[in-house]
Amino acid sequence: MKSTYLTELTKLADSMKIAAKCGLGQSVGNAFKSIVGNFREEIIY
Amino acid sequence: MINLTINNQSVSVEPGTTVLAAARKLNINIPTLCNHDDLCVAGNCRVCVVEQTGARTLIAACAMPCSDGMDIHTNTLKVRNARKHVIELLLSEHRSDCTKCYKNQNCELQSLANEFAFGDTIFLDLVEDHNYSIDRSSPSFMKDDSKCIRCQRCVRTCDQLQYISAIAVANKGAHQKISSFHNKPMSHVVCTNCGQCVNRCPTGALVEKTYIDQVWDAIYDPEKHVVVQTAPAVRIALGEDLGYDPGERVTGKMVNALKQLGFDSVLDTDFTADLTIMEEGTELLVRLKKALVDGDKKISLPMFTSCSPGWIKFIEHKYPEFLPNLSTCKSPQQMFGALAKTFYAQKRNLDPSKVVSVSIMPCTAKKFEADRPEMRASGYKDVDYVLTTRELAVMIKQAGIDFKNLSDENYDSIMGDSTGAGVIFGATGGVMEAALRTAYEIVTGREVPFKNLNITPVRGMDGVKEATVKIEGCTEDWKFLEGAELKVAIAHGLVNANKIMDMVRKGEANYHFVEIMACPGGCLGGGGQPIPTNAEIRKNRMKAIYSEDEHMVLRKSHLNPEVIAIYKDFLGKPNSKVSHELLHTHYVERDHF
Ligand code: SF4
Ligand code: SF4
Ligand code: SF4
Ligand code: FES
Repeated sequence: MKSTYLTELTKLADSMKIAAKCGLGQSVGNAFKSIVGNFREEIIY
Repeated sequence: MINLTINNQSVSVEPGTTVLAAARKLNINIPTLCNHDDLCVAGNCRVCVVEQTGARTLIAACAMPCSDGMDIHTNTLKVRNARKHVIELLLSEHRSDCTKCYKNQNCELQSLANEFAFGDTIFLDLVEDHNYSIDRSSPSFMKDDSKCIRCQRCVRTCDQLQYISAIAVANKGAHQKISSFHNKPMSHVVCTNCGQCVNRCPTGALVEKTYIDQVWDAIYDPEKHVVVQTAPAVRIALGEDLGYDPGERVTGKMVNALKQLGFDSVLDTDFTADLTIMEEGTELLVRLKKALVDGDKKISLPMFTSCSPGWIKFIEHKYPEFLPNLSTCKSPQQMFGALAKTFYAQKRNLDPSKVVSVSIMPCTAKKFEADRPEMRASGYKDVDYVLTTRELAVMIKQAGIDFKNLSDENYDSIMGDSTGAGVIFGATGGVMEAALRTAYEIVTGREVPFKNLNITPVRGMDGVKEATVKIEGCTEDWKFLEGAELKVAIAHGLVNANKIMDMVRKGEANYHFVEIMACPGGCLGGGGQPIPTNAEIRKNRMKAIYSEDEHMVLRKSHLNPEVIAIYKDFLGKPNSKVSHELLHTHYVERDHF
């Protein structure tokens, strides 16, 4: 469940990166994506 | 020309064309929310994003101008995901009680949700966290922040089209909301109740205040005699909500439907539009005489028309020093109301306390106007309930009437007769044209010197129109006007009204008579008219108005037999004492914010 949720949120971060109006919105998801990318296990378990 | 491809189809467009407009040329549908054809680009909702080959990000089709060699794709996975996310995020902050919502089935957000965001979403419902409020203070419309998607169409409308800015964006991010000055209730700010924002809101955040149930109650009350009047611009737009294309005249069907709904008498605001011409035309000629012949310095010229309650509230707020320039004539709606509970009740032997007067208007400001304390000349509330064109369509649907297959019916009498001059009140320039048709004839005894009575210089969609009419061959009584050039001006949309007022204030205008309508295109583009609206739709409605005029047997207000009769039986003559008591009014100064 949590894992699907993370995947979905990553997709949202991807959308924000390409669809947000300004640079702030486009970059704000980067930190989150990086954490999930590198520490996925730690977040889930 | 600029050449590009959209979904692998080539298209050439003028420089400056947006990707959205180019796609429309190819009949490719790109969803939009914040975009509106009447307004400047906002680019804030991001629903219209498309993919441009080679670009780092998606682009907003409504905001991006085409450039040579662009290769656009409107339906890629990235695009679909982004759109779905945008809509789901909007919905997470939106009170989606569609089944109870006034905009159900007529809501742009709902249709997009239907296309992109059905089923479960991962996003939390944040509605309860937001502490949204609903503002019911205006008699004309409601503002429900829990339905607002912050697209800012309303803000742009109020600023760009109406030059009022009664509403603006307050706060940032999650706290962003559409707010008024100091967050005051809409009834206490500079808002004119014009409803142009209501007409452009894509959701149920701004909707007219509806009085449908009260009207049904009155209809079913055996004690009550319910009369209904229909404004000129309703008959050429109602069809749009009932399955017709814009520009279809449905006068006869509308009258039939109103009879079937159970109104006791179906009458016409056009009758009092004709009466307005008699009163206002006379008022103008008297003012001109006093100013030109008697040299009375107190006379205020130019005289402004007073039929548009949105415009009245605008001048009361913004240019109160010019209130004496307003014609004292009530609007046709209010003249009708005052007469319904006096003249009409007497003629029909009715107790005026048992008469309920309902009006069908293209306008939300009329709801406010009917509530004004000045509008009780009959001793009762002159107009009890005002419904918009849209509300009438709802009632017709509620009653299960098969509108398209109705036969044409005629208005009842008395106060049901009208002329073409009355009907053109619904288009910008119409009051001016009607007034000139009558005033010119009073003064010279001859018809206005325009082919087929069509005074084309005052017609059309230019924001500010000017015309000069040379008066020649005056009758004995009006000799002082011989050779005079009557200078007139017309504005529609308050942004254009403001242009004229600015000139008048600076002393740069030498007009005698100025017609102003609050809404773009005049009443035909009113805030209570079917949604959507755009320049094309308004143009079609305008054509319909003038063709309605051409089809009338009588086309000059002073020839309306019921108008002639009411002066004989009841009012005496234009601007008489009775007229002044019932048909004229006064105005109040209001705050600037
Ligand atoms: S505004 Fe639209 S989406 Fe929202 S509740 Fe009303 S109909 Fe549904
Ligand atoms: S009130 Fe309507 S038009 Fe205004 S921002 Fe909200 S949704 Fe958009
Ligand atoms: S009703 Fe008219 S004046 Fe009032 S907020 Fe809307 S657009 Fe502005
Ligand atoms: S419609 Fe293009 S950003 Fe809203």
